[in-house]
Amino acid sequence: MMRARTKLVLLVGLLAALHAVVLLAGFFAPYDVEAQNRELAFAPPTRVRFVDQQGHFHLRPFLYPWVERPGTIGEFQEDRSRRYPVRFFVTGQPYKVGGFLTGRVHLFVVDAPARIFLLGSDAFGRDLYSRMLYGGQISLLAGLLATALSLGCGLILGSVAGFYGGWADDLLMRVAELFLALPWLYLLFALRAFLPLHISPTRAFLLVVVVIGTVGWARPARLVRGVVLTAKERDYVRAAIGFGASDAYLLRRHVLPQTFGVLLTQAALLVPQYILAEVTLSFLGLGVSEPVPSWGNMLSTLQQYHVLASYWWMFLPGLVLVPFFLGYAALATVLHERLKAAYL
Amino acid sequence: MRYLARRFLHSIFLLFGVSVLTFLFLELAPGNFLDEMRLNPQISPETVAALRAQYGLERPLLARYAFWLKAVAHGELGFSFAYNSPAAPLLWLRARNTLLLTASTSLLSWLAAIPLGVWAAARKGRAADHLTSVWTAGLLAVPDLLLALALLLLAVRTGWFPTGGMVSVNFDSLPFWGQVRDAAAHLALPVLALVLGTLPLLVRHVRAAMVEVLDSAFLRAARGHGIPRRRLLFSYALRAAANPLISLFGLSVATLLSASLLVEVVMSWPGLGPLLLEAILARDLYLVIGAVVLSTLLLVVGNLLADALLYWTDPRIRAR
Amino acid sequence: MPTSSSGGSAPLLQVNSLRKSYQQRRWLSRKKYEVAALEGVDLAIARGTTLALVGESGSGKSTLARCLVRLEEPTSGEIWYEGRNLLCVSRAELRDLRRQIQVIFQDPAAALNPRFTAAEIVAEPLAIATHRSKKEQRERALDLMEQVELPRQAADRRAGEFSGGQRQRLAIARALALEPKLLILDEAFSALDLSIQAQIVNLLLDLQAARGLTYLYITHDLSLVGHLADEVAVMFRGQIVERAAPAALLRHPQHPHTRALVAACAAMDAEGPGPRQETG
Repeated sequence: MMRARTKLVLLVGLLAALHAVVLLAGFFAPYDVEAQNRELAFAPPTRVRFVDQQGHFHLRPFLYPWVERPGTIGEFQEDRSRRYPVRFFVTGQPYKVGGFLTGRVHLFVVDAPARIFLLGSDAFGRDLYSRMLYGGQISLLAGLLATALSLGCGLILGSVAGFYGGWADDLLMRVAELFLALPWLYLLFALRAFLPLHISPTRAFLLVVVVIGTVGWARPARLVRGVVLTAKERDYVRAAIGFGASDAYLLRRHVLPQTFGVLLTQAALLVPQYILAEVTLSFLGLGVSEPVPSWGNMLSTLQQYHVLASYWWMFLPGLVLVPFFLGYAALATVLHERLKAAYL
Repeated sequence: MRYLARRFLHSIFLLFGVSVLTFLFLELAPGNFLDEMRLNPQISPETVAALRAQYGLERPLLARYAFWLKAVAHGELGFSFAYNSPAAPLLWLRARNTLLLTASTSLLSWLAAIPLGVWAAARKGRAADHLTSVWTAGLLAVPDLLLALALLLLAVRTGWFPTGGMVSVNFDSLPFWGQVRDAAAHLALPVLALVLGTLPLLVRHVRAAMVEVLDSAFLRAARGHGIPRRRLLFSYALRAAANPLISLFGLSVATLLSASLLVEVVMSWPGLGPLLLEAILARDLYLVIGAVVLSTLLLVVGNLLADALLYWTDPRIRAR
Repeated sequence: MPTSSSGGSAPLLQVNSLRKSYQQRRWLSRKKYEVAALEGVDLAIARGTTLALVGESGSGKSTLARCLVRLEEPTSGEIWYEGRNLLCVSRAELRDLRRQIQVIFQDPAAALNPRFTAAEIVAEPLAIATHRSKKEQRERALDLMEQVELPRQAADRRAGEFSGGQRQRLAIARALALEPKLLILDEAFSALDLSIQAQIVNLLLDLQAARGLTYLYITHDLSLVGHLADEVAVMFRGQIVERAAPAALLRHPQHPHTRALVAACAAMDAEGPGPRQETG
């Protein structure tokens, strides 16, 4: 019991830390999302060094800047003539945190003209690492909002179906069955297909959230319905009816609080799935589009053969999904076990 | 037979539901698609007028739905504006390719998952079991998109596999066995991506089902009778565990189709996936609906297959 | 030991030929199955007395109880309470009348929301039905807890932290909050240990003496009937087959089914106070 609790706390802490890094992208990223370096297009990841040409060890890491290899176009080599030390906690370009706070301190930078590209740069010479952090804000927010939307729909429809029963229940559960049985990516696409294609990034973002959130209402609705069905048969609900309680009171005080555990577990399952849905839609050009970065549209350049063949580091930002998915999967397992224990 | 009949009814309900759903999407779409088409210089006004008449857009909703349903029942899935041809032949060809991909994936991943899952279950709590749970958890955390991209990257950089399409350019000039080898080589990469994506979940389920059976009284009794271990595992226990696994097969068809959609697009496999994407980007309405309906058809066939298997293997269902 | 003899005044509750049947229909089938749970029940309880309704499970006694508080709709019949037919009153009136008839359920663990504290549980009826302030509600809840012999200090503990007997006391305190006239004790003791049963029975007898409460005690065994009831009605297959005073009924059961019940009770007594407690 105690160990499961510790595990839960650790997992929540880990996930919170991961999200915090993305939220504080401005601090962790050395550059702005849209900062371009046309002369450094498709530069490979910077090599951060501790030992210089002479074999001297430096406590402070440093780098040699990329310069175009003479006689080539778009191939880079290190210019070993000058060392550029990595400097930490430097006041520089202002940035926004959560849309309203302004910060100026960056975790690390190097002096111009050198650039630090931890994951390399893209076709416009933009830092992939910085864009990955900023892109996470879009992808995570989309995932979280869509989850909230799905759970909200599921809670309302599921509790109506479970609490009132009757034809509404029958109809809702038939439709839910349909939504659950279908390949959900096809469903997502079908819904997306009938909505406008070329729209502003903000509207595209909202659209993606709504589409993803709507497609996934069925499972939470069914689970909520199950909880409500058992909850409303309990003797304390009957007693409250005897005191003259209204339906609203019963739902608010006795029935809906019980759905909390199920909703939380569902959230842990849905958030990564929905992050992935946004990534997929944006990857295929149906979601959030350039210049706003998202984890999906950052990967979409890999659909061009020459990018895939020559610039392998364009793939690196995709790996950021793995720790998030691991964390959420573990959280879902722990929450599920707690839920099971609570019902036994 | 009652069981199969009921499942068949369920499939009909599913197809019916999908048709209603897609039709509703169509109705709720902002702006009339034919209006949009009228602005398209590639489509003649006569075509638009003919379509308008053909789909009876002036008639009430229910009548239009009935009309559409009748056309579908005759195998007409509408008209592709981008390809300027009936949608049905295009769709059937693509559906066949998707079927080839998903069927090979299903076969291979089950062939791999059963021994791996049985092995983990037989060594429950020991190193092999822990190893299984670690690699499945790790692989589960890698989304299909990343898997496909990573494999493609690997293929491009090593040249081990051909990338893109179903066959090489010189396919027609190859001898028969060369053709088979060429096709298999093109199939390998997308199948590998899909197998890696589906395998961890299957292995976990096989293990869970086997663990439950191995703990049961009848198996302990069988062990007491001195039946050889291998036979015990693969003949007795696996047969007892088959039921939930066959149900899982039915349920996993939908997931597999979703994963396949993505892998097809990434690896340029000419299945329903890329067609659907193209159709969405070109606003090719009937192709979109057709692709969704056909994917449902594949799903329904997969589910019916699972039901038939269940009927065949489980005497309790047959008795009902 | 009956607390008061049945008076000759008009009964508090009177039930006339109450019927309840369930219709079941299978999906895609036109056939309807009719299952009768109550087949014309007649019943009367005098003010301040206790009527025990005895029957095995499935005899319809629980259905009757639920019909009385309108948790289920009877198919036909009349339920007269204080001169008004509960089956044809307005919604507002029903809401008001329902508060005068409270139920004590079999399993006190299921009857109390585990998320609530003791004070919240007891104050719940006040929160629903009255416009008192939070503070007044709590004061009243603490008084009620005292009346059922629970310490005031326990007010902020959650329901799960109480023992079975204490939970049943909480349920009683909650039922008393709206000053009801009729309590339906639906197998209210069968989930409790024998010694606790006796305590709760005594508590209920004291409350009856102090407040003039009327009880309808629904049970499947006769063991406590002699202590609690003024009159016993035996129910069998949706009908009342025998009515008598407890002593007479135990000594001279008339209906064969009553004889079986009495015999079962005697056999149980012969075994002594064995492990008869169900989980609670």
